[in-house]
Amino acid sequence: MAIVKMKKAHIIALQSEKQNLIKMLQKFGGLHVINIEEQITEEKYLELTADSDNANVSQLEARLSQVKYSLDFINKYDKAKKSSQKARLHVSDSEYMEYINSNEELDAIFNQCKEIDLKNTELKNRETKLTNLIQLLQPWNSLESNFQDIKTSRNTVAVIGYVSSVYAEDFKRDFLITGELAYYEEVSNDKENTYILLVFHRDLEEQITQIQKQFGWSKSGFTDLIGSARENIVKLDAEAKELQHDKEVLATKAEQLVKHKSQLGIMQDIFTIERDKASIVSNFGKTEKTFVLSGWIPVKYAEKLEEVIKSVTQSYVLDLEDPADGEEPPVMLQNAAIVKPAEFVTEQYSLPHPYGIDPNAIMLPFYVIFFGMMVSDAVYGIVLAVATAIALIVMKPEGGLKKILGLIFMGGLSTLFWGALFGGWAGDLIKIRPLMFNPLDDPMKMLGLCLAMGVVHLFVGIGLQAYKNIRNGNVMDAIYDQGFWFTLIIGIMLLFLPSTAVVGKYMAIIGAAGMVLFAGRSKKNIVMRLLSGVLSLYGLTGFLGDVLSYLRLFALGLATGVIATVVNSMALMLKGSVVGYIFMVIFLIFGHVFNIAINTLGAYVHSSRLQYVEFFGKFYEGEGKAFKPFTVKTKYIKQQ
Amino acid sequence: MTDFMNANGGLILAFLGSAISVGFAGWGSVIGVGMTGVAASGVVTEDPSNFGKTLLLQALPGTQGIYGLLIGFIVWLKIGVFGDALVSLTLQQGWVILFACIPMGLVGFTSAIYQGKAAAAGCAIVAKRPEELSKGMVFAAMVETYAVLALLASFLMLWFGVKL
Amino acid sequence: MFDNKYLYPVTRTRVLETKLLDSTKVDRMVEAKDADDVIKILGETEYANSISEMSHSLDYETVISKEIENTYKYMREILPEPELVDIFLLKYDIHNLKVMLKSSLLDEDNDFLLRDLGTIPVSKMKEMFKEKDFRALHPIIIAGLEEILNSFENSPDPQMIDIILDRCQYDTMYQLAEKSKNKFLQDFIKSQIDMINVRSFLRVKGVNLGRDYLAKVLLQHGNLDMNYYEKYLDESLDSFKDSLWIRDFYSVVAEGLESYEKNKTLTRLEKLADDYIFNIAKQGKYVAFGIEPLVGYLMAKENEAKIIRIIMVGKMNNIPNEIIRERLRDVYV
Repeated sequence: MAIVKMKKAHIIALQSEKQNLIKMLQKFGGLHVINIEEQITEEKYLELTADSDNANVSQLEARLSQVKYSLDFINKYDKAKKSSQKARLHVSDSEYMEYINSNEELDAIFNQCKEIDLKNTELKNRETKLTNLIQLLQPWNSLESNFQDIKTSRNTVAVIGYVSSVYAEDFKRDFLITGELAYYEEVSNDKENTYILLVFHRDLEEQITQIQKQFGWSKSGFTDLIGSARENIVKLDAEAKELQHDKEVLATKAEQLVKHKSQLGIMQDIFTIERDKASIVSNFGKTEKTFVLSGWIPVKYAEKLEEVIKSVTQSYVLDLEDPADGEEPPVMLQNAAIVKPAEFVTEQYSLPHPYGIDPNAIMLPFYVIFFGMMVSDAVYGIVLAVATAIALIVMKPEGGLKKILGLIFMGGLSTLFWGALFGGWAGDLIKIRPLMFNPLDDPMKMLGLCLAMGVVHLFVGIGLQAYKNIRNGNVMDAIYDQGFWFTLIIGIMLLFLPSTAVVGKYMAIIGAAGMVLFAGRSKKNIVMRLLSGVLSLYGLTGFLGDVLSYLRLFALGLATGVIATVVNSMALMLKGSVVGYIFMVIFLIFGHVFNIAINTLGAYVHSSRLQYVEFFGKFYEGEGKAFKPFTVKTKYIKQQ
Repeated sequence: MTDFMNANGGLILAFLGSAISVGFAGWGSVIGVGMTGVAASGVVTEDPSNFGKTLLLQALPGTQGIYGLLIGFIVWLKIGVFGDALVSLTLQQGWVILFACIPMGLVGFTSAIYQGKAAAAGCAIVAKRPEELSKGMVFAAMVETYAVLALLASFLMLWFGVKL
Repeated sequence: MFDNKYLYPVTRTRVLETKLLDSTKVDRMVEAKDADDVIKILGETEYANSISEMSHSLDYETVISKEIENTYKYMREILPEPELVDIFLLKYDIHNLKVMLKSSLLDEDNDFLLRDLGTIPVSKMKEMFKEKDFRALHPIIIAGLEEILNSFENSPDPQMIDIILDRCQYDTMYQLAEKSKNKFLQDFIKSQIDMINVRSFLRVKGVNLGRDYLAKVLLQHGNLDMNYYEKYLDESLDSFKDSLWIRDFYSVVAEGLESYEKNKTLTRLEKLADDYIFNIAKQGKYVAFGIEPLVGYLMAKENEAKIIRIIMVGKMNNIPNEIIRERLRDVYV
């Protein structure tokens, strides 16, 4: 349980050595650089102006987005996607410089990607236009006439169009009433519309326009097309096929670019490093010849920092100071490797306040115990532990994934332990006598165990608050707020045991009296003070609620056990023939894997909740800002 | 009629109870999981890489259905559905079983729906900040607490209230 | 608010929100050395698709139109009530109607101003004008057109086209919102109407255009009655301002008037009013599932169009970066 102590470092050096120093600081990776601009207004910084390297940053940003674009593009065509995520590559210094200056090469790759991408969109657009046109032509498939002939000539008018099928009959009737000089041909119809060819004498035009309006006639115009609909469709289909072919050609072209993938990956890393180096400058202050930077550094790295600076230059000023009052340094947690996984749980909530408590070491055992009690099946525990151990060894994950796998690994061991205690081995599949008791046979014992777990957990939480009070020099607060509270609750619990009832009675009275008298001590008015003291006793119901919340340990354990039993008994119904046995085994595997999955998820979520709501609620102060050192961030390159 | 009820009423009530528990809790889970699924598919349409994360959220409101089944299963175990013959129940025992099943059915139903809503909102969190998945999960899990308590209540009533 | 209908649309939109232009991209666009470079930067974003449709290297209007068109297409696809999109598209229809009306009544050719984004395609609208058949329009707008034609017979005043059609636009928008029974949409449109009315009121009062003119330009359905403005026409600006102190937009009017009295321009007020509307749209951030986040996204997307236009115009006319930045401040909230 340690929040690393920080010192604030101010470094002044010559502008001429800035680039080198930045490079070394990035390699060193232990300084959390802060923006000096906010402090520049202070008197001691009067001569400073804000430094920046924006031109470089935007140039590198531009390079980076070219790289990212090309990588994204190539990934779409990389069939081997995941398997090609090989080990990190080593890049020597000279190669590094070559990559930085490889602008032309990058431009070439980028332009190729871009060109293919553009052509692809163009093809897609043309394809939609084609399919749309084909769809529009479909209803006219059986029309024999050529489109160029459907037009208005000196005496006759020929048009094609459609009306809603509901009105088709009425339209036809009204149209044909106009006499023998009007010709009506229904070309096709579908659910919605009826498609019609009309030919009539010009003299009728006005009259027919009226009828058309009345029935919502829509004119179809294929004025650009020559030949019949069928001919056009055939032609367009051929064109669509050609497009398809063009697309395939493009795809092969794109696949040829996949070979640049590792090269682009390296470029992405290198440009990121360079971009970071350029953009960090905007946090600095400068004078004509010098520059200033400030940052937080863990106390233990302070000497190393000086060495790093010395390796670059002899003319520098390094000033280390403790955080001023009210100043909140960033938070870095330092825990033993075994406690690290717990940090995942805390980080998901909120990092501890820089002057608060790092709860991880104390929280971890509770987390793991609760996790185990909720899954509580020895076989499941073995499965979880083995699976996560394999994942940890084979995948060598880093960061959050490593932590959560570690957490589940420990949870798995705990599950094995509790499963053995409760006698759960894949439900009742393997019958081994419980080392302690079976919760189903003795639910009262199990309830008691859960509540006891809860009380211990909560007491530790309250104890931590007392510790915090004492550490901050508020000993009396610890006695008034936590001491009396302990006395009261322990007293009440003792009341229930006949042999300690008397002691319990007095403890409860002392505790309650103490709370009534002192809980409201911040109030000046004596009546108000006593009143808020009495009100503080109401906290007991809250405590009761908190304790009852631990009953979920039982309920979730119950769920695992009973579902496992259901799976077993249903699977056993299948046995008999050979085929039956095969199905039985398959069913058992699927059933239990499902049960493991759903209950591990439940155990993770509910174990977290018990920490967040019940435990953290008692003492935890979050809202720490993470320590983010200026460092080299890579995905593809091996770091020295 | 009275004779019929005296002879079979207990069993009928017991089956009704287990049906309420399994049926209602399952119904709620269907709604909750469905709701989260719809929200999750919105995220996945635009960003398929969030499939795993949203799937975790979708699983959360599903537990009520399982709890409901669990209570139903205990009822069936008690009355010998899996044995050679059904146990004969008195009317009173039947009523006890029926009432024991109600917390799970009722709370399972409502909590699954509301947990579905919380989980769906969790999907919206994942959409904008995939790294904050856990927070969305905890919000949803807060709702589940009451289903867990109901499960416990139903279980205890069945276990201790019905002596066969 | 929690509306099951919006589960899918909202989560899908939340992902899209992460793909909006962020401030680093906008900064880079401002810092770009020329207009071509701006397009290049856009090419790295979601705009890449629309860029492929440009007819020449600086055809940014096509990019913007395409993008807006796609956004509305998307909205229509995901909204449980696709017809609500019409509320937001109406302004394009009205714009096109204005252009065409002016073309036909004043014998001008303004076709280059037409924008094919509205609910009615430009070609269809042209046909409507040719056939003099406007039945496809909303009844309110048809009535408005008749009013314009009538008034033109008496005295041809092109300004009336704008005034009447603007009124039609907001009346129709409000009616559509009312029909949808969506409280947020109604409030959103009401607030827009308020802002327009306040601006009209101040303009009329400032230039002394008179009571009749005010009655013509005021819009119905605002949070404030039309009579309210008419009542304050003869009173001091301060008393008008003070009378609004319980309204949400009091600070908009108060701050806007302060600057108006100093500089005699309404620019500040207009900017504040835009912010006010944009902030209402931004409520979507805090609503889990409802139409609010979708409207917020739509507004953000239209805001992006403004940003791109300002930057491109600036770059094409060699305007210094600081001034572009200054102008962006007016849209980038």
